[in-house]
Amino acid sequence: MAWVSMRLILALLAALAGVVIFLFTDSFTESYYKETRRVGKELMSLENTLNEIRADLLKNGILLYFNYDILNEELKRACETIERLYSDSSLKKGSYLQAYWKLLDFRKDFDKFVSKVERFVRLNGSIKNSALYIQTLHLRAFELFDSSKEEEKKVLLLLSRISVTVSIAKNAQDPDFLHDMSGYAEELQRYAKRYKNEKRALLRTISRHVRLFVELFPEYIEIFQDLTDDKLKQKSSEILKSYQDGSRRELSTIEYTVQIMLLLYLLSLSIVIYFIFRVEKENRRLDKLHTVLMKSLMTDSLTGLENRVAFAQEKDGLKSPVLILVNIDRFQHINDFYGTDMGDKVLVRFAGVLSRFIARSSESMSLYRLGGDDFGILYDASSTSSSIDEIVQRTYLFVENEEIKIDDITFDISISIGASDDRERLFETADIALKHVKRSERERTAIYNESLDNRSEIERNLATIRELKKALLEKRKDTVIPYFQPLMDMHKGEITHFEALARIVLNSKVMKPENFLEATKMAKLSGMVTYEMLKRTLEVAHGCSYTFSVNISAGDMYNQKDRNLILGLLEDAGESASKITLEILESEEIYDYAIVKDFIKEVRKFGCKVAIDDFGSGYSNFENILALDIDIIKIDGTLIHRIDHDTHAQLIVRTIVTFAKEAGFKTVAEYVHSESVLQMVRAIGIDYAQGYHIGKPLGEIECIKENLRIGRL
Amino acid sequence: MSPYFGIFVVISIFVSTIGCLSEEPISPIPSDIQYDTDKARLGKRLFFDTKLSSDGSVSCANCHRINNGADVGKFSYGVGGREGNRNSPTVFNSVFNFRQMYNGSAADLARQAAAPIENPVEMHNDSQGVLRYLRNDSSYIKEFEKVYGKKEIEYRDVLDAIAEFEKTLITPNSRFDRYLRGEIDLSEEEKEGYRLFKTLGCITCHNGTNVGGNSYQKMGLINPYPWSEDSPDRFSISKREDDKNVYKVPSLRNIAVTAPYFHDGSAATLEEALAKMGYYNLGFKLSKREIALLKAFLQTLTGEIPKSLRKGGL
Repeated sequence: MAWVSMRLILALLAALAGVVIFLFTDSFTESYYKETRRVGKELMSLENTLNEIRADLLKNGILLYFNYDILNEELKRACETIERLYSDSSLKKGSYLQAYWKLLDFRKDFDKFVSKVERFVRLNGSIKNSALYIQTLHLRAFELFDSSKEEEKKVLLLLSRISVTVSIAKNAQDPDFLHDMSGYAEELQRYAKRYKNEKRALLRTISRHVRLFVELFPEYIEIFQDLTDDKLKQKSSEILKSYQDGSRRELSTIEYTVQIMLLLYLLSLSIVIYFIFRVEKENRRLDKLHTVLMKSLMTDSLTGLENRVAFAQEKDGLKSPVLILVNIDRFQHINDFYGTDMGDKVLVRFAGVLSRFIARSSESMSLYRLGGDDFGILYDASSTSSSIDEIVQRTYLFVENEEIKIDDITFDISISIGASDDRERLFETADIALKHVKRSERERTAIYNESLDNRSEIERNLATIRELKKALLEKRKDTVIPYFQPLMDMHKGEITHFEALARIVLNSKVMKPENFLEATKMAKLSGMVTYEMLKRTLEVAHGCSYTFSVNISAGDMYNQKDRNLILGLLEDAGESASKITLEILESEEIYDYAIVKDFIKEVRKFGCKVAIDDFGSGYSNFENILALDIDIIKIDGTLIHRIDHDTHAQLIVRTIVTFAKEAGFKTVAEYVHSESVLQMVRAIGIDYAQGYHIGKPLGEIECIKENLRIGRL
Repeated sequence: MSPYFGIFVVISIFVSTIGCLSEEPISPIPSDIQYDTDKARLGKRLFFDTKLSSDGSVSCANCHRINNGADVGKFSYGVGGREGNRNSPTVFNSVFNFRQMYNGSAADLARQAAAPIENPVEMHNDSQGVLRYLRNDSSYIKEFEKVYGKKEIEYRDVLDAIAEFEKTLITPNSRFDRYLRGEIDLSEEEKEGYRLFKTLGCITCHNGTNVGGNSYQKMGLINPYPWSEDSPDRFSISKREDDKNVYKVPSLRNIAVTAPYFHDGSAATLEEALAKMGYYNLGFKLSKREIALLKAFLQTLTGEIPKSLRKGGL
């Protein structure tokens, strides 16, 4: 933004500079040439007029008569020219000041010149007239005087001398010739006294003219020479020269200024270009960055796969999107055991496995890393004839047959797959299917359908839950019933113990915990379920040689009422209570260990044992758990499930067992679903085994029958 | 030495002095002159308006009569019948004068126009008085605004208008001008008068369009002319002794109809004036014949009454 505004301002400045330069150059050069032409013309015409004046002064000096109008006209013209120049503003500018001062000087000189011309015209008139009259009267003297008379001849001779001298002096413009003239005039005056009347008057008049001539001639000559010399013209030429100098200076100033402005203009232009270039560069960089960021936003930095953001975008582009959600089983164990660096490496390699699968697959598929160890395969169902199930199975088999080996450690990766083609809730429903798989002991893949959806089931069975609540509150018989799953004592090789698993019977339908657990929790009925379960188990245990475990959650202990009810039951049960093991569920979610400790202390009074369920996966609070006074730890079933071929699961389990023995805890293996697993369990030295391979959960009656059948009871 | 030889010598000197003769030193008055009609019309009204004087009795036209542009009396009379000290020069053709006033103290007609208005023995007014009158006259206000485009009447515009009117006061088509233009011929007597006018040297000072009015010269060059303190000469400006009795050479246009003559009106007739000029400025007495011839020539200089003064002229 700052760049843009800067660029804009600079661009505007550059444009402005351009306009200014244009206007400046245009107006200045135009006015410059106009002014120079005007002033130059005036000065030239002034010089011309001065020449004319000079010529006319000369003419006036020579000619007997002359039209003064011509001279006056020229003087007036010169004067007007000077006044125009004087008031011309362009002459008052710095460059022309010298010419202006000269003009001022010239103006004064010209005023003097005009006065001199007036004086000259006056003198010239007198001189000419007297010169004329001296000769005219000389001529008349010949009529009056008799040249034959000696005396009068002298007069005529004197007059002739005067005439000649005047003529020479005037033509030579030299007052030196007048040297004797004053004497002549006096002589003439003297002669005049000797005559009378006309003769006397004539001589007197001539004498006066001669005197006037002599008197005025030197000044006349001086003024004439003064006026006709070149001084004034030279001065006007100097003005012109000064003006031309000024004009050159002005021109070079204009050129200089224009050059500077042009330079500035070019500079600002190049700055603009530079900024445009920079902005372009910046834009390119930002574009690149944008691409990188978009990619990184869409890409998982660890595996280089596209991530959830990309997934969210791309799934919308498909007509019938199918998401296959692949999760690494017990990935947490790898992190826990080998550290997250190894975990990351496993993820990268696993991503590679899936990429290979996709590459080999005939369908066009995209692979995403959607969470920690959740990978998604997205494809368009409309582009393939294979069913979802086929593709899910293909995926499963492909991955199951691959093994990941890092630093000589072989990771036998097992996966769970949840898939969905629910366009609206693609990820969510695939996740539901995945969770279903996770909960299931045997299913490794699931395709979403509504029945998998806990939430929707709960919604559908909302009425049922209300009924359940009602039933539980009414203490209706046989609402909560225990199913029993046998545990084999590995040392004795026989069933010694049963885990009571809660079932809820509503409208003759038996519900498993996964279908009601959330609901009972929400309805705060879990304490009541535990109570019922304990009550029924105690009834079964009464007069029976087996021991039983009953699940209890920490939540049941926190609730004062439930807690008292449970403790009351145990108290009333008497000896049967000692056959009961309380299995603490979700022990990782305990937040108040003091209450749990206290509860354990209480139940021990009745001879109860205490077990921790699902030990092993994701335990960050070992210390707290182990600080509880417990007897048995139940190893996380997901670890056991694959223990027969998963070496690091084995490793973890071994570690747990070793540790449990050290700590004096008995161990239980859940999810023992095959003989090989059982053998491994035995080999590792786990105390008890539980699972389908040992025996599935059965109702009270069936359990008895079954055990009778196999001869256990 | 014979007298003829002497004559020859004198003539040869004479001729050599004159050298070559130039073009006619007198030029005819143009038959028309350019002027601004509106200004001139306004100027004419002002010229004849007695209210420009302090007591409302004297206008420019009082002393510059429309028949000859000058006054009939020796001196002119101003407000309250005050007598001036000079003979009013003709206003006709004054536009061709190189300066105005006897001593050339006014460079142009507009500046000249202020002088009589402000002279105590003439119109005895001032710019404020003139403006007070004009600015209270709605028709003047209207006319000035029309002509000068200003809301308020200014004194210099008053003078400018009068000057513009005076420009129109030219008297073309005198017989002499028509002779110069080759339209008519003059009588032998008149032509001889003109020649005499030149040979006597009158032409030295009386030349140009106005046959004078284009230089300063001294009156009484040879024989001193009486001088008094109030002579309106160059001396009154420069105070140079040399400038005493130096006047702007008067125009000889219409001279036959502008008696009396000279600044002091001392010559009642043309003959008298010619004789005086001969005595004072040439130094000798002109003969009766010479005067008659000169007079005959001078009479050809009378032109037509200016168009602007005729009926329907402006």
